[in-house]
Amino acid sequence: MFPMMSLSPGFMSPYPWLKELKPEERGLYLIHLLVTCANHVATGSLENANIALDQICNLATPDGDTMQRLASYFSEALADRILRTWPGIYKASRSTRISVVAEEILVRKMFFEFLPFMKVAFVITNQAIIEAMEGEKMVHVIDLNATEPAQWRALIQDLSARPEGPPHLRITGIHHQKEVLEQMAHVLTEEAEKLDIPFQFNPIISKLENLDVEKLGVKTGEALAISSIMQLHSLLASDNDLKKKSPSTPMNAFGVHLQRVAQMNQSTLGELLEKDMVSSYSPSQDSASSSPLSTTTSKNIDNFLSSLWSLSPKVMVVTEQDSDHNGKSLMERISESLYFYAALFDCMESALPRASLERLKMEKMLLGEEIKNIIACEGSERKERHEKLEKWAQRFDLAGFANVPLSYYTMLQAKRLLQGYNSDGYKIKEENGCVVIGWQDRPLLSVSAWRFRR
Amino acid sequence: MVIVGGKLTGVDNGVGLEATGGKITGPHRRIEIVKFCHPMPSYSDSFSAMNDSTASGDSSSGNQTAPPKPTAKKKRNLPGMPDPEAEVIALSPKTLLATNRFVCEICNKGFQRDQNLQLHRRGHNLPWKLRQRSSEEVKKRVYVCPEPGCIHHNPSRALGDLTGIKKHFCRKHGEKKWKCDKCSKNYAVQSDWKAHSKICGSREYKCDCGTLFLRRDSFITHRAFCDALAGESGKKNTALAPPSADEDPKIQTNLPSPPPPAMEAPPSPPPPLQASSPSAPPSTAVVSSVLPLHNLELPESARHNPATTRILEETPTVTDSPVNCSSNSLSSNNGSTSSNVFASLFASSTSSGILQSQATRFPDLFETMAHTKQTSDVALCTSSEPISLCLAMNQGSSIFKTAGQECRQYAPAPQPAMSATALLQKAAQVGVAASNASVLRGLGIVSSLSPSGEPQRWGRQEIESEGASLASGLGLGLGLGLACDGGSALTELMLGTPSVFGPKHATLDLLGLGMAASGGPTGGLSAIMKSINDGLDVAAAAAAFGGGEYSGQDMGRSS
Repeated sequence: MFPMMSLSPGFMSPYPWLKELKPEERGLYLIHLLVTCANHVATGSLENANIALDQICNLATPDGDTMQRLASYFSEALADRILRTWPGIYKASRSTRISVVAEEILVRKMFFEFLPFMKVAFVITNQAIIEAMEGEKMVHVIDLNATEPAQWRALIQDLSARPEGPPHLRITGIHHQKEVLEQMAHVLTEEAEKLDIPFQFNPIISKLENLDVEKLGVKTGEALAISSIMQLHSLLASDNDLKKKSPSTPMNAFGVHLQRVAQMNQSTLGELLEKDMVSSYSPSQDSASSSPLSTTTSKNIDNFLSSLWSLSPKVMVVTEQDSDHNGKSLMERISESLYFYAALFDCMESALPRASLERLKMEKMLLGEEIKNIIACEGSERKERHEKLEKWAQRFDLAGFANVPLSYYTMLQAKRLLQGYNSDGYKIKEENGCVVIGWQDRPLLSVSAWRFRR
Repeated sequence: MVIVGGKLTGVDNGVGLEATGGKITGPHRRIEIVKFCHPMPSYSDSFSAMNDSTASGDSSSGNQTAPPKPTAKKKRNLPGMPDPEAEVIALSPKTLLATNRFVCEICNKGFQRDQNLQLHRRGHNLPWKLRQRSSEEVKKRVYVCPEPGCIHHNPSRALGDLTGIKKHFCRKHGEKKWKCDKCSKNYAVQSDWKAHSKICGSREYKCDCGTLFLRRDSFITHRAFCDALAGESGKKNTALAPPSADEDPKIQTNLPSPPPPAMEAPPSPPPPLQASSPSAPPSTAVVSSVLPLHNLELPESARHNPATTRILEETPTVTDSPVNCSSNSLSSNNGSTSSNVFASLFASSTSSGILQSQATRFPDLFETMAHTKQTSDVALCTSSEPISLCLAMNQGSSIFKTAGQECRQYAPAPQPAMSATALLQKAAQVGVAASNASVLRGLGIVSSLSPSGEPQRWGRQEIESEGASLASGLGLGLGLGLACDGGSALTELMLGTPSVFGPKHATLDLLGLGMAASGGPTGGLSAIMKSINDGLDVAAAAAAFGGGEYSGQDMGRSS
């Protein structure tokens, strides 16, 4: 009584029964495939990874439901990771890629409009700055990633409306693209002129890692505020990471590795997992990183934080993704980022219809690129090294900063903003004076304020 | 509402209204009907009669030309589909939200309408003037929503009622200022909030699984599909399908349209196989949650007719044949059996061991989700949040609010069960292996695992011949290789890492491998990898030969 069709090769598509899966089953199966595939990639069994990826591609699509989208970007990231082991092939496959700056700017604008995260970050940052600058006559704000003029335009408006009158305001914007800074300068100076407040915009065209704080032009007597929105994590590459390059273990013979795997018996599997094949993707254990909250030594971030400290800022407001995507092993990062980006994709689902082109672009150019960076890149190339708030708090504390609890009024404003998004999913809560915004019970973004401490 | 002599009366049969010929006298109780601000909420014959006789009659011009409405019941357009000849009025958000625009200069009392203010001013002995109803034919007015993205912004979809548009604007585009103190519901319109708080907590229905309902209909629907009841029905109906518990919450949270006919078959084949297994009593209710209600008889027939179960069992892939087979037995098994089903559905039950775990798991999943929402909402509603403070808080968020409002037009997509977050949690809880098994079970291929972790020997033997060959026939090396070959290994995994499952240990969960844990599971990992290799070869062979012959070899390798 078997349906004979299933036994004959080449009947219909390779996996007819896959089409019949209900979305939920398909979703669960995709998760299973992703984890299995990641495991294969981590252990270097490429043939199996290939099969898994093939299966995933039959089920996943960037315009399906949230799990399908998530799976398509994760599988692309895994494929990217595999491809990087053949640097020549990898580079050649991307050699004609064009990146359009205008598109990138547009997609960031979309993210700002359709999802509340940026706005909440801006509102909290601005409010913390305003409160810290009460009574100050000279205010200097440094934006570590000056992309969205709306943030500072709002600050200009709020400062001009304060009871003691507006301060003398300088804003220093840092970005690696000149056009973005020009646009921001234009918008902000126009706004300041309209409100008649003394204002100056200093553009600094630089990447964050190459930033020379001397050039920021911080003068004595002015009160300094620093705004960092999802920037600091790019400096978190540890010293170990920087020594290693991206995965480049030659895997020229598929068969070689398969055989090795097949021959492994139980007792040596554990060793296999720690062998070079795998550990080349992850630095050897530091004693510093044995405890969960300890931070690995990283010259970049420590130097940067201490140089910021040396400017003695009155307030530094830091917004970061609140999730640990900086794990040493691929599997750690995959599982954390699966939860994190699943929540973000669910946000997208609640914000825009599936057919929306804007959503597709945001998912591809923002979320997909982050996922790709987390999974496929290593060493200095991996920028999206998100860490949890506790770790950041530790770093700031070590660097000489004290926490400035965010005020009740700030929380209130943030809550109101989120409520305006008319979606039950967004959650906001206060944690040790910091604000964490999440989707359902998944924390996504943390905002905290710090000040110079002697 | 009609203003009569300074008092507000409901719509009545015109008692108390007299055509006074348009003279306004001071303290006289009877005054003329003032201009209607909005159409009447209740449409009775008496109203229209009153309209005819008094409204036009009272206008100072005294003309009785063309009564504005026919004497028949006032025609009410469908909401959102206004009379094409109506006058379209677009009010600004400020106007719509304004509560008291007319303020008395003496005592600062606010009024919603000018007429009310004028009447109030009489009390201060101030000069007051009441406007008369305009003499021309009253034109029907419709209102558009000022929110640009809203469907009712379009004049062709305007709403006919001023109160209606106000409430719509608040509900859809306003913030929910009114919070129920008993539950976590928030409302933008005060009347909604009042109406809710009257009934909130007044009647509660509690299902045996612990879920609370305020409405009878949702309670009954839930009970029909609830896991907890399945234990009782499971005892009676042993041959019924255990769908993957996965399908359950999906039904609990949303009642989807009946799945396409082809999808009805999947849950039915697996059940008969587990029929003789005492350790996994299935549930009627859960099955029926998968099938549309009119197919409730299907599991019944499966139960009573071994021949049917055989048929169902042997068609693991999704075709229409199971449905056809069952329809034969349907006719023979109607009547008493269906009443049995319903009886068991609504009976309270004691759940058996397995079902208890099943039952508790998924309601818990959703209870946690619901509770998370609730607790976070409680955290949000700090008690000292004055509304005036909210209204005053425009400073930082002004720029961002307008933009945010544009995003609200899209209705949120479905349901928690389908969201990626929920799927991940499920995968972590159920365990990757079991979720895989459930997928396969749904397709008629029973894996050798049940959630209890017991390897079911008989099931495995029976299935291997079918499943393995099917797997190879389909050329799958990966997924089914796991199920077929790694039965014992997977059980090991399941048993070996039970405590690891949980959202906090996300790292380990998804793998179900416990890589950082004891060395036990590594055995499983190697077994999986071995089986994958086997599966690979099988796949290669199957592709060449079509698989059926290789089932023997599969089994040889797996042992």
